[in-house]
Amino acid sequence: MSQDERDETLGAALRALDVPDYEAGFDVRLRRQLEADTPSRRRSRRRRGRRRPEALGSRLLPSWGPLTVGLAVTTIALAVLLGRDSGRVGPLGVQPATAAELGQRVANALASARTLAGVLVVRERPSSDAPFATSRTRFLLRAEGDQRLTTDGGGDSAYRVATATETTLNDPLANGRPVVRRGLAPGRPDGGPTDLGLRRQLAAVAQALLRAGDQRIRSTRYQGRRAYRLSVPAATNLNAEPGVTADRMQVVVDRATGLPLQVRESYRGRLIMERRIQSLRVNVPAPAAAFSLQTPSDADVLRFDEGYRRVTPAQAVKRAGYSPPLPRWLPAGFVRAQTYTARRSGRTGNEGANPVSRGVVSTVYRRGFQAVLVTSRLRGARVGVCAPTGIGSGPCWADPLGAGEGFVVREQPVRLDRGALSGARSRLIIDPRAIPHLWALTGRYLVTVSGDLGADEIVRVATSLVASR
Amino acid sequence: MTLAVVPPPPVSERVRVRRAQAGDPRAFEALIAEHDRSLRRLAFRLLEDHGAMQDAMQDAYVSAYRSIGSFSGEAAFATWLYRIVYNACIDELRRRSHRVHAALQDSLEHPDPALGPADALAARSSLAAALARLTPEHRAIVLLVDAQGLSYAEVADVLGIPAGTVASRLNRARAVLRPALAADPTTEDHR
Repeated sequence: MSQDERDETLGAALRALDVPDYEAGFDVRLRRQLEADTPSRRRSRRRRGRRRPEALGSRLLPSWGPLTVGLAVTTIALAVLLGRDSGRVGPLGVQPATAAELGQRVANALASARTLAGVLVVRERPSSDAPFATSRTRFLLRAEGDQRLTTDGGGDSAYRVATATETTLNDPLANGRPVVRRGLAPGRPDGGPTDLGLRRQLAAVAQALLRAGDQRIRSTRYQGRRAYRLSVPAATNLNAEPGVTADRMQVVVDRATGLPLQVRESYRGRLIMERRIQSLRVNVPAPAAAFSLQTPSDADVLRFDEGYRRVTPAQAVKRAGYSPPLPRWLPAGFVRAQTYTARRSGRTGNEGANPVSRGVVSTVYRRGFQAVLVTSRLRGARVGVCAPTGIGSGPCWADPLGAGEGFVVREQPVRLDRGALSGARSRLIIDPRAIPHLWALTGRYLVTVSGDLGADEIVRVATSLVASR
Repeated sequence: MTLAVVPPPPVSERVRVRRAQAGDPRAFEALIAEHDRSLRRLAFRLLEDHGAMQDAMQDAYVSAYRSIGSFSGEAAFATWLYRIVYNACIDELRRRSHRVHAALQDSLEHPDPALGPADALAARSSLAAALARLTPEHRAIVLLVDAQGLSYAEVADVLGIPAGTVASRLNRARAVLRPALAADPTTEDHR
């Protein structure tokens, strides 16, 4: 290599290493110091023999323990530490990150966390003219998939991956009777454990937003913390009156931890729905007992079996009756967590537009709290692909992960030139209303690839699918 | 010391420098804002500690503001800033001395459970770990040349060493980092 020639590959990798932000207050403190150090003030101080108001090298704010967010406590602490200057824009506060950079930050945070605990607060109107109602759910989640949810109203739900069983006490939908659901799928498009928008939706929405292009994001403050805010347009619901569903979604991501803290939906600036996380804690102890619930011995328990059984990939071939396509490539760090099969499963898509699924194989890959699901099911007699009307009907297959009845999201046709899906009709969906995903219809089966990935990664995973043996 | 031949700074930067030299802190803020991320990258990789990075950057910026009257414009403003930040980091490392190096090594081998998720992930990066094994001078050289695009002469000016020394140490640093870069798995069979 000649004199002064650079190693561009190494340079790019070095530039990609994490560069931490300053803690809150750095800008303001620095500005104060600079203003106190202007030549005129220095001369004035010398004449009067005064000391500078702040000594050079005075230490900045103590570092936050980024693993313990404790929003309420932090808000009070920062208010005391920063005083009224906390809202000022400092000299270095005009450096917005790109969506791609923040997306990577979120991915890193979710990838490395082992447990998450906190309170999910949901504000929404039961109807367009009703006042906002607020619900709170305490949650404890393990990256492996176990979860415990406790609601304001006394509802209590525990799900364990090892048994694929969810037990719910005081379920209002069952008139307070205990409910035990076993044989659950790991997640969409099939029936998984209760999801309050936490594990799948919040992370996936954030991912969809943050990876939706290289738009600039704004620095903001959220409950006293430095944060990033990104706002994108969203499709309204065709079946609902204007103003009932949002035309814009906004995500707030904590700057220190990279975790999404708030998703706000609005219509022409008017709040429609808000989900926010309070008192978030990361990597708190989560013993296995926290994810088990016993039903009272004298209770009239409602029991359901969704039909999914945990198997090895080899067993999946036998149970499903075909060799399911599995990825040869996933982003670094993702590993296969579980494979489930069901001979028969429920309908998928908006309004259950698709027929009952048969021969379903669902494999989940995890990297911390990030998950990728690859599913396949036999195609059966339906051969066509429905137009993305958001309603779904006719002798065709609709998107199994439909964004919800009445929501029309853009499906981008994708041509896959390799692997098990080569030549198949494939659609890619990257939209704030949906988990990022691709679905494809081959001559034998319908395949979905979904999860916490960007568009390019989803396509690459789909291209790498080959029939297992 | 031989200064690199650099093109004249853009007018806007030159004007800002003059204003800063006249005692305008806003002009100085605008100057450092343009280079802050690169400077912060250098400081963090030299110190491997978030709090220490902030302290060093604060010291460096205040020091730069105080001494901007001595900036003659012969070197690029960024190069001048790199030198001040580098010296502030070296001062910080000297203050921490052996105790800090031991703690740094320990933190790489046994990640602090109090680290944030992103920090913990960064600590596991093979490239970051390999970079941390280099001496601060080697780290600075490879970051300034390969990541920031400075010439050998500019880096020599920043570090106060001959350009030939920059070249030889750069080769050694690359030899340590390239295997770590190659070890980063991007293709795996997940079946």
